[in-house]
Amino acid sequence: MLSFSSYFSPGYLALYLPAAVLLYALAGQRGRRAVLLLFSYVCFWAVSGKLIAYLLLSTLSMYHTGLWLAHDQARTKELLEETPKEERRALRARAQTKQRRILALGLLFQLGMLVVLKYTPFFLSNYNALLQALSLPVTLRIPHFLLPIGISFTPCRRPPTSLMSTVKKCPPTAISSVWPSTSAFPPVDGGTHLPLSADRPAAVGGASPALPEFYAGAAADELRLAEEDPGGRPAQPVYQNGL
Amino acid sequence: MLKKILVADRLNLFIKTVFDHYEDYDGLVIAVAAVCYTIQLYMDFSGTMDLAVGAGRIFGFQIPENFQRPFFSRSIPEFWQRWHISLGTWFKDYIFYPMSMSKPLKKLTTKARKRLGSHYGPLVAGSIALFCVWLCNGLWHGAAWNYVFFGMYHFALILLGNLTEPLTVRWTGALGISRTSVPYRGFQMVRTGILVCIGELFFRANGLYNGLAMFHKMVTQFSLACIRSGSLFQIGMRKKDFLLVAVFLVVLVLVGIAQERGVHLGTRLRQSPVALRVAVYYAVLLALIIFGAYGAGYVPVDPIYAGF
Repeated sequence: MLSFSSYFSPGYLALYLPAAVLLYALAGQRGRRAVLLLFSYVCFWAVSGKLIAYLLLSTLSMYHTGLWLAHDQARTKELLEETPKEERRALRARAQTKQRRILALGLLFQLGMLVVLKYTPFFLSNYNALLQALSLPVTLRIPHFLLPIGISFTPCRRPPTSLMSTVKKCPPTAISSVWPSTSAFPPVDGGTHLPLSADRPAAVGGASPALPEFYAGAAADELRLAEEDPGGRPAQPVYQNGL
Repeated sequence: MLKKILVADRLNLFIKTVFDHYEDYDGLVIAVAAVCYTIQLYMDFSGTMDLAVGAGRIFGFQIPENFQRPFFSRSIPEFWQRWHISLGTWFKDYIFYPMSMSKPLKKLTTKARKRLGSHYGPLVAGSIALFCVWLCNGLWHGAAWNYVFFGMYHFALILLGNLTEPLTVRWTGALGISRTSVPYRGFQMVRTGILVCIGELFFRANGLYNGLAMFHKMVTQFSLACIRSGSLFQIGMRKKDFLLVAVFLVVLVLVGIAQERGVHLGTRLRQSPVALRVAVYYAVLLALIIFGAYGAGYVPVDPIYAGF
C-alpha cells in the first residue's frame, strides 16, 4: 500500500501527485477523465484500504441509476412519438413519476449507505439507553462498521451532482463521467468543480468566474447549462455543490 | 501547507492533551485549548482546501475557495457564509430552501406575518427550516450528542440574533453608536470569534458530558495561575511554539485585511518580477522546513475533516 496518509505527506506530494499529473498530461481528452477516476480510486484505496468497496459500490449504483434514468428518458421520447397527441400528457406524467421513483431509489441507496454505516450504532446505543431507562430487559446488539475516509462527503455530494446532471439531460456516456464525484482532485472535501476546457476559454486564461456564480445552486446552474447547450452536450457539465 | 504543517499540526499535541485530560487543567488552559482547536480546525481544513485548489489548478480545474476569512465575520450567519461554504450551500439548497418554500411553511409564513409583523412573521417558518438545517449539520459532522449540541448551539445563536436584531438596532441608535464604525465592527468580530470558540469546544470534546464539564470548568475555575507558573507552556507546546503560532497568525490577519480590502496578494505576486517571486517562494519553503511541525516529536496528523 502507498505510504501517504494525507495530502501533505511526502508520498502524496512527491509520488502520487506527479504521477497523476504526468499521466493526465499524456492521456487524450477523453482518457483524462479515466485517469482522474483511476487515481481517485488509488488515493482512496491508499487511505482506506479495502473500504474502497463502499466507494465502488456507491459509484456503480450512481452510474447505473443514471443509465436507468437516461434509458427511461430515451424510451419515453420514443413512445411519445408513437402515441396519439391526446394521450401524450398522461404518458408524460407517468414517465415523470417513474423517473422520480428511480431518482428517489438512487438517492435512497446513497444516503441509506451513509445512515447505515455512520448512524446505526448511534441510534441503537441511544435506543438501548432508552430501554435501560425504562427498565426493560432488552438490549440490542450494536454493530460496529469500519468507516471509509470522508464518509459524509461522498454520498451527499454525488446525488445532487451526478444524478441531477442525468436528470437535466446530460446522461453519463461512460462510467468515467462520474469522476468528479469520486475525484481526489479536489479531495473528499472538494467543493465546486468547474472544469476548464477549450469550450470555456474565459476560465482557462481569463478571469475566474465571480464567486456568486459558483454558489448560485446546482439546479439553477445545470438549467443554465442546458439552456446554453440545448443539444444536450454531455461532455462537460458544471458540477456544483460538492461538500 | 504552512497552515497545516506550521500551525495545525503544531497545536495538535497541546489540544489532544487538554481535551483528553481536562480534569487536570484549570479554566484558562481549557479556554486556550478551545481557541487553539478553532485555529487548528481552520488551518487544517482551509490548508487542505488550499492544497486541493492548487492541485486542481495543475489539472486545469478552477475550484472556488471553501473559506473566505471567516474570522472577519461580524455575526454567526456571516461566519457560516464564510466557513465551509460548500457545506452551507448544500444545506441551503437541499434543505433550507425546499423546506421554507414548501406549501405548509409558506402558509405558516402568511399567517405569522399577519399576527407578528413583517420581521418576526417570516422568522417562524424560517426557524423551522433552520432547525432542520442545523440538526442535519450537527449530525453530518458526527453521530454523537456533542455534534447535535453543536448544531443546536449555532441554531440558537442565529435565532437569537434574528430575534434581537430590531432591539440591537434600536439600542445602538439610542446610544449613538455607529454600526459601521471600526470599534463596533471590531467588537462584533471578537464577539463572533468567542461564540465560535465556545461552539468548537463542544465540537471537539470527547462527548457531550465532557464538553459541558469543560465549559463549566472554564467558567468557574478560570485563573491566571498557569501563566504565572509557566505550566501552560509545558502541555505539548513551549513558549516559543505559542510565539511562532502567534507570529504566523499575525501574518495571516494582515493578509486577510489586505484581502478584505480587495488586494489579492497572490495575483500581485504572480505579476511581480521573477526575482521577487522566487525570493518569496524560497522564503515560504524555508519557513516550512525550519518551522514546520514534523520529524522527531511529531506525528503526522490526518486532515480532521477526513474523519467526518
